[in-house]
Amino acid sequence: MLKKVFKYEWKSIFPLLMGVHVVGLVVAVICRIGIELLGGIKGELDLMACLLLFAAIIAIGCIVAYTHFYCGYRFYKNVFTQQGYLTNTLPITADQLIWGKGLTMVIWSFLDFLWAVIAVMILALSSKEAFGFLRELPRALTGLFRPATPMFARLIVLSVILTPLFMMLQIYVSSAIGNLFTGHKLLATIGAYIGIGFAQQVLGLIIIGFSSPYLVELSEKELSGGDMYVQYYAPAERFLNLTVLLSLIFCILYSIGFYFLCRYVLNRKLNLE
Amino acid sequence: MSTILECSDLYKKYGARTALDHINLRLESGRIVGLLGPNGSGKSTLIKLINDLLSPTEGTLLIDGHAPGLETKKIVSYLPERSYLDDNWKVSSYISYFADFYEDFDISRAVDMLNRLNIDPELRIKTLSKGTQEKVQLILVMSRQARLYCLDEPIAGVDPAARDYILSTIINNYNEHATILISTHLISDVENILDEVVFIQNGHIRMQAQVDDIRCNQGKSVDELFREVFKC
Repeated sequence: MLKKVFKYEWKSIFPLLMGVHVVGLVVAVICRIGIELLGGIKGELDLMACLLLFAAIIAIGCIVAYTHFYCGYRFYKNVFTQQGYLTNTLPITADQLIWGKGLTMVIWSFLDFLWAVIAVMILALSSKEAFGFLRELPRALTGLFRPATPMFARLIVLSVILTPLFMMLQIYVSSAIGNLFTGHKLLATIGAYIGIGFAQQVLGLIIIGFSSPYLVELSEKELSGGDMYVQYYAPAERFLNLTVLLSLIFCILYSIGFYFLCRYVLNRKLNLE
Repeated sequence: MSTILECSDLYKKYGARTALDHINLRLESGRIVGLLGPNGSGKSTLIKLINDLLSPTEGTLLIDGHAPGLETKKIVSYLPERSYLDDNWKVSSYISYFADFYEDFDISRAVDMLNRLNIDPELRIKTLSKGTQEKVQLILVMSRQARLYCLDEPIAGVDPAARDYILSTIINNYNEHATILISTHLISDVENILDEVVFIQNGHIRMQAQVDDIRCNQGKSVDELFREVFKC
C-alpha cells in the first residue's frame, strides 16, 4: 500500500513541479544571457547585471520554497479537507499515509537542492568553471567517506540528509494540529507552523545558552601543547562540531515527536466535520 | 442475517454541542436502511463515525465486529455529501486508483456504468458538470462489492432525472448480502427502495422500524410518518 500511496502522490505532483523547475532553468539561462549581454558582473557599472542576477537568485529561492509548501499543502488538502473523505477511507494505515506522501516530498527536496545548484551554476559560473566543478564533484563526494575527512563536513552532510525529513514532518504535524480546530483550519495550520518554528528557535537558543560552557569545556579537554592549531583551531573546530551535533540530535528528536503526534492525530483525533 | 453495524451508547460532541447523544443502534446485513432526519439531526456525524472520519467522544461502534479502522475500511464504501474528487485528475485515473486500493472494486462494472452515461473516462473532473461529477463519484462507490455502503445525502441537490438515475444505480448494483445506509431528508424519493428506517433527531434515535410494518400496522407511508414524528 505504501508503494501505491507513493505512486499516486508522485504522479499528482510531478507534472506541475517538473514544469515549474523547467521554467526556472529557462529563466536562469535567459538571465545569464542578459548578464553576459550587459558585459558581465565585473565592476561598479554593472548595476543592471547585478540586479538581473539578484532577481534570478530570488526566483530560484521562490521555486525552492514553492516546492516545499506545495508538497505540504497537498498533504493538508488530501488529508484534512474534502479530499480527506477519500484519503481517510482508503484501507491504509496512518504510517503508510505519512511515509507514502512524505517520501515524495523528501525526494523533491533533494531534487530541488540539485536543481538549485545547477541553476546557480548556469547563472554564475563560466563553462570552464562549471566543468571543473563537475570534475571535482565525484572526488569530493567519495572523499566524504575517507577517515581523514573532517567531522564537521560529515555532520553537515548528515544535516542535509535529515533536514528535508524534519521539514516535511514539521509541515505535516502543523496540518494535523490545524485539523483539531473547529473552524479556520488552514489559518490554524499556518499558525501552528509558525508557532512550532518559533518555539524551536527559542528552545534552541536556551539549550545553546545553557550548554555553551560545557561545550567549551569539552572542546578544550585533553588539549595541550603550544602550536597555533592546538591552542586556537582545534578547540574552535571541536566546539563547532559539538554544536552541529547537538542541533542534529534535536532535529532527530523533533522529527520523532512530530511523527508520532501526526500519527496520533490521524489515528485518534481526525476531525473531518 | 448477521449484524453489520452495532452502536452502543455512542456519544459525539463538537465543542459544547452534542451531535449524537448516547445512541444504541443495530443494523442487519442485506437491508436497505434509510437514516432519516431533519438537517442537523446527526445523520452525517453517524456516517462519519462509521467511516472513521471522526472519533467518538464516548461509546462503541462496531462494523462486522470491528472498531472503525483498517479492517472496516476494506468492507465499507462511502459516498460523502460533498465531492472529494480532485479537479485535475481524469475519470480513468480514479478508476485505477480505486482498483489499486480496494480489492473489491469491479473495474468492468465501473466502465460499463460510465459508458451507459456516455462519460468519457479520459475527461478531467474539472471539465464535468457538478451533476456528472456526483454520478462519477456514485459509480466509483457502487462499483465496490462492499459489505456496507454509507451514502450521505446521495440525492440532495440534483434534478429529478438524476435522482432516478442515482436510485436505480443503487438498486441495480446492490449485492443482496450487503447493507446500504442512505442518509436523507427527501423521504418520498427514497421510500420505495427502503426495507427499514431509522428516524434521528437532535442526536437521538426516535424510531427504528421496518417499512412494511409502518405501512401495514400504522397504515401510513414513511413520508407521512416522518412528517408526523418531526412536526414543528
